[in-house]
Amino acid sequence: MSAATLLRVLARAGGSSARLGRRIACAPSFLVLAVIILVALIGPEFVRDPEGLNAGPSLSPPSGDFWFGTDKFGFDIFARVIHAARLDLTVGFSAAAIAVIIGMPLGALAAMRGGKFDSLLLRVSESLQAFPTLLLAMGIVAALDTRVVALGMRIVFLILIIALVNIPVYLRLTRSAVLPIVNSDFVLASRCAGKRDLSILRRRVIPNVLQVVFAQFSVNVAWAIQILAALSFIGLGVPLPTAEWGAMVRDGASYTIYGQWWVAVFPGLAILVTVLTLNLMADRVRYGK
Amino acid sequence: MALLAYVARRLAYLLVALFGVTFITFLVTRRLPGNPAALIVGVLADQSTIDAVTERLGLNEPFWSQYYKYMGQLFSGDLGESWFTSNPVTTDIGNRWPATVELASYALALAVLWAVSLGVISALRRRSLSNRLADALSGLGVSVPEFWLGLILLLAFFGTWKIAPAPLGRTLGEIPPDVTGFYTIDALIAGDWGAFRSAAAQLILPTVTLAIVIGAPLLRITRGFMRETMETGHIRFARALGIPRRSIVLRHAIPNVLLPVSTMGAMMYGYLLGGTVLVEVVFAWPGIGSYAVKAIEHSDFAPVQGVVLLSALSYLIVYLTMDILHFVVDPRTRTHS
Repeated sequence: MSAATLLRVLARAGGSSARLGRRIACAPSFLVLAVIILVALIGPEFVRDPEGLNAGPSLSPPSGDFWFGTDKFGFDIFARVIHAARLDLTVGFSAAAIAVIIGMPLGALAAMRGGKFDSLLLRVSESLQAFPTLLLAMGIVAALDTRVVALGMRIVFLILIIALVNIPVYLRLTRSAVLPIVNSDFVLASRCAGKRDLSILRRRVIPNVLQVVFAQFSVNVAWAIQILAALSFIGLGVPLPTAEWGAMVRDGASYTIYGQWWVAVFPGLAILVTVLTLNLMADRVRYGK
Repeated sequence: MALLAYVARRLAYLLVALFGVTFITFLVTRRLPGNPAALIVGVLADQSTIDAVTERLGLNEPFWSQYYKYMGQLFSGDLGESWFTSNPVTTDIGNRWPATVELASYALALAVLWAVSLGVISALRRRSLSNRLADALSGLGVSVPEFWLGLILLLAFFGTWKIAPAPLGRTLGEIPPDVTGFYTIDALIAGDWGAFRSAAAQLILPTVTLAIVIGAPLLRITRGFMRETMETGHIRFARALGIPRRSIVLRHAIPNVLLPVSTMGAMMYGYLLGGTVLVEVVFAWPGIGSYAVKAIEHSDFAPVQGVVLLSALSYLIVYLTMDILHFVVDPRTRTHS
């Protein structure tokens, strides 16, 4: 079964996603998320240049002119937080999407095929999961660090690395969600009726795990954003002066305890609000809270 | 006998996982595109210097022979040498490991204390204040970036109210004579009250930061399982018998919740032993996490590799210990495995 066929199967499982869609759209957290995404999409058009030197005086506190104050270069922190939303959400969504596209079919296959294939995948993802995610990402980024300098390429690599460390999570999640379904009587009935694996996967298995996987996707976007911010915070992610939430917290860390709190507090708050919203949405999808 | 067989099987799994782990660290630090030798000597070096360093590091040998050598070194306990401290990595890590373990242990203890008790209480009283509090804390704890939380606590307790000491490592006073490696315990053993106070004061903020972050998932798990347990047949039966609620909770419900909660706790401890990186950076804590970050700043791979290996190893060992404990404590695991 090729990856392309699997993707087609996933796409066709849309029938049951209508119900899921309604459930998501009714969540209050969805509204907040929609606002955040909207800000990331069009917000940057309405604010100052995030890398415009001396937009204001250096390190001035929040005011009518500079809502979130300015940093040591006189950059407008509000403008930078808005611009960073675009970058952080792009990395978060792309990394989670790549992880789900690779991890979910592999997990489903592992559960359906069983045997050697299953146990091999399980062992590999177990060893990958033994690493603290951040440390693993740190190791890989560090090894690449001096070799990948251009900003665009750096971001692509960061997306790939964050996706890579998250694949085992999806694989195991999908596997454990699919396993009871594969062993259930209604799948056995389909088998007896002579249905092939692919059709069982599409009609019986995927509609049943979509909810779990979607909730995990939401959580995973949040994780990806947290990992990116953490990498930038220790100086491995996106370098200054590019606006990125974690890098901005790093930049403001040394000023915080001396009273210039706004440099680090606002970008950190942006991470907190975004990640919290994504997590609440996942809860909503998972438990219908 | 069953126990021995079980332990043997788990140990075999551990070995397989460890091989996977070493293979991945090897791949990551040695086999990525680009020539590390060129990085070491810098941009100004000529080709013959690069070739010489390549030769010395054995980078011109075939892949499997490099891996074989690497494994040989690992088995003899050699993690290489750090260029920027010019010590063997094992020495450096040995000096810093107690700092990380001390912080991780206190953080886990504090997290278990607040999260498990709040989890149990909020599970027993739905629609109560404690339930709301649990919702808020678990949501915030999972979502807050820990490095930012650390900064906020510093801003409040050190910057504004000036009741916390400066974030400058493990102690501002004298270092107590080394017995356990835990400054707080060593100070007590030496009977040095001043050293204990200084070490404990340095510990408070990083411990609280970590305890909030790792307490959140513990709280969720505890509350979820506690609610589930309270709905089960044997609890209802106990209630129908008229057994007091207090003794139902303490003697019948909580023991059932302890197993999943302790698994989660073990996972959190394993995570902490490698995952205190960010908090160590914020509080200038001289543990293995800040060591790895410093090494990365100097493009020094041997320490990074060592730290990654050590944390993966400790995670696996903590997990194995927990598994074995469960096997001993819970008869159900014997039939399931």
